[in-house]
Amino acid sequence: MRPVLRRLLAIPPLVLAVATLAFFLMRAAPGGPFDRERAPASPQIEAALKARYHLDEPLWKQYARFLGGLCRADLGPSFKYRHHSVGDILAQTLPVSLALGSLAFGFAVGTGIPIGFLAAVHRGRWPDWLASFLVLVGVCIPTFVLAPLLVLWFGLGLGWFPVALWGSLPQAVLPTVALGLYFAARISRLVREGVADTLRAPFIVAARAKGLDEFTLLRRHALRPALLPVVSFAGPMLADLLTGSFVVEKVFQLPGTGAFFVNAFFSRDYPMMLGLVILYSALLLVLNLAADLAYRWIDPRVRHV
Amino acid sequence: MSERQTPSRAAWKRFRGNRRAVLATVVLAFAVVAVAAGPWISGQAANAGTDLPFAAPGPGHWFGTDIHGRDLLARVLAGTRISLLVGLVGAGVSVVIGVVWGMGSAYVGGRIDGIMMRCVDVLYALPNIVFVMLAITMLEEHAVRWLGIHAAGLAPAARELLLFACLGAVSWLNMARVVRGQVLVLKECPFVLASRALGASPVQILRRHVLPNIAGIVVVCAALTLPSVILYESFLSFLGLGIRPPDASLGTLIEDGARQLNPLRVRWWLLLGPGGVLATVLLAFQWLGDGLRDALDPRSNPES
Repeated sequence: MRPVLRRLLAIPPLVLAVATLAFFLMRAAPGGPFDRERAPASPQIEAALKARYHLDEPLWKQYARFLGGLCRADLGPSFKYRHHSVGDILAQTLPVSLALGSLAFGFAVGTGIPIGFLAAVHRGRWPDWLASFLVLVGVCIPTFVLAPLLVLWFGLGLGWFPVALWGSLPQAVLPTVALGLYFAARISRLVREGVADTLRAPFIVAARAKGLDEFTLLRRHALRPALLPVVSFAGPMLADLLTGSFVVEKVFQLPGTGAFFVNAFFSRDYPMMLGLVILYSALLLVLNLAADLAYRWIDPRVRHV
Repeated sequence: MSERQTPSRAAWKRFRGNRRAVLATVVLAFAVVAVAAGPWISGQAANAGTDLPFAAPGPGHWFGTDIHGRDLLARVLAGTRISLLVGLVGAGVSVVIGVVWGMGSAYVGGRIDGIMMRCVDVLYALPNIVFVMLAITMLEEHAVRWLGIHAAGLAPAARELLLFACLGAVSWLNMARVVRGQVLVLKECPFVLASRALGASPVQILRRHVLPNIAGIVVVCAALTLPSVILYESFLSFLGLGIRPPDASLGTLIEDGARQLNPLRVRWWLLLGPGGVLATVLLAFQWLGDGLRDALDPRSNPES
């Protein structure tokens, strides 16, 4: 367990490095949060605002202030939504994104693995072609097209599901599909290739020759090694899903975190951006570690390297 | 049996035997020719409006027209050109950075390797979208302003090239990791040790012995990066950071079509033309990548 502990301990410095990089990159970007074009105000008011948020201090002092806030787990006030702290905003919006992201993850894994598996087992026959078509659709249609199409067909045309807002299970169906379809397609492709590769391996021939029944063979011997690429894909994917999606949240009017990634950048809301960067990077690193642990659990060969 | 079976010849044979890969190559070659001959095929300029908005496909406008009466076939051809350029430049940039970084890191090794790979980790953990947006606005501010002073005519083209390069600059991380893993193995191989013992310089070794051996995996990796760069560009255009109107990429054309979606009047051709071409191009790249991977992997079985 030593290497795991070491990697766990490496996460906070890495997150700090990412936050530092983001901090200085953001300040180097042109424009500021209280520029004339964003918040028209007299020069006096602009100066007062800058003083209020310490933007008139030298950069190193602002950075030190940011680090100090980080130590107290305080991400500071949002520049855009002036009466809310970044922590408050995240606390309000993150649950929505976490819930939607988990649902989309479940959808992606729950449909991607069986479809890819069936495609590999029936290679070159109609389930394979059907799966290839689904993958193509899932990968090629950008989310910002898929989401309105879903609303149009299943929301307005057929009237099966509500088209916006958040709170009940039917309301979650369309956003879940819109968010998860791309990942379902990618997963099913990985599984199909993995299973098809494994089925050619000598140990499968050996197992078949020994008379193992086909179901056990496929489930126990072929599927398990094929899941390895999925596991390493799933770590970063889950981090993306859980921190929300700009497009899906915009189309379905969901109060999630994803919209802030883009909006905070456009309004140069420095503390909000940094909060999101820290959240995302920490989540990504933890999930990658989790994926590696799952990898070890599935593939005993990795354990002793 | 007189023909010598070199690895590259064997790979070419495997590639030719792969029907999907050959088909994909033909489709992509056709796309390149069509894009180059764009105005002659459609007979219209991509940005020239007519007084026929939303004409359904038919003779004269094979793909129909859009909201401003512009011929959609001409726009799809122009958009395909931009999308292919985005993909090629983006993937090219990611190959250059990724290969140099990964190869250098692995070959030098030791502490430098550790530092270089930590850099990759840090960039990897930075949300992609934040990185791209920052890179684009910063470079735009400095480079395009500089060009505006010194060569005003080039500024719009430079902006697009910059965008393509930025997309490549965020997608090299995987490439660097893959290349590093390969080079770590290769540099302990007997033939590398032998040429080092013979006094070859590191640059010579990397160029003559390491690079040819990682070419396969790099090509495959690039073929897989390409579609993701094309898709990413469409997302950036959706945010208003990508291609600017009246220019169009396949992504922005699809988005324009999606904007006209409503339950009352169905204008399917606005989505079908650009969407169909995008799907075809992406599928072709995927098959090409698969074909290259199978062809360049000597263990692969040509029967399958």
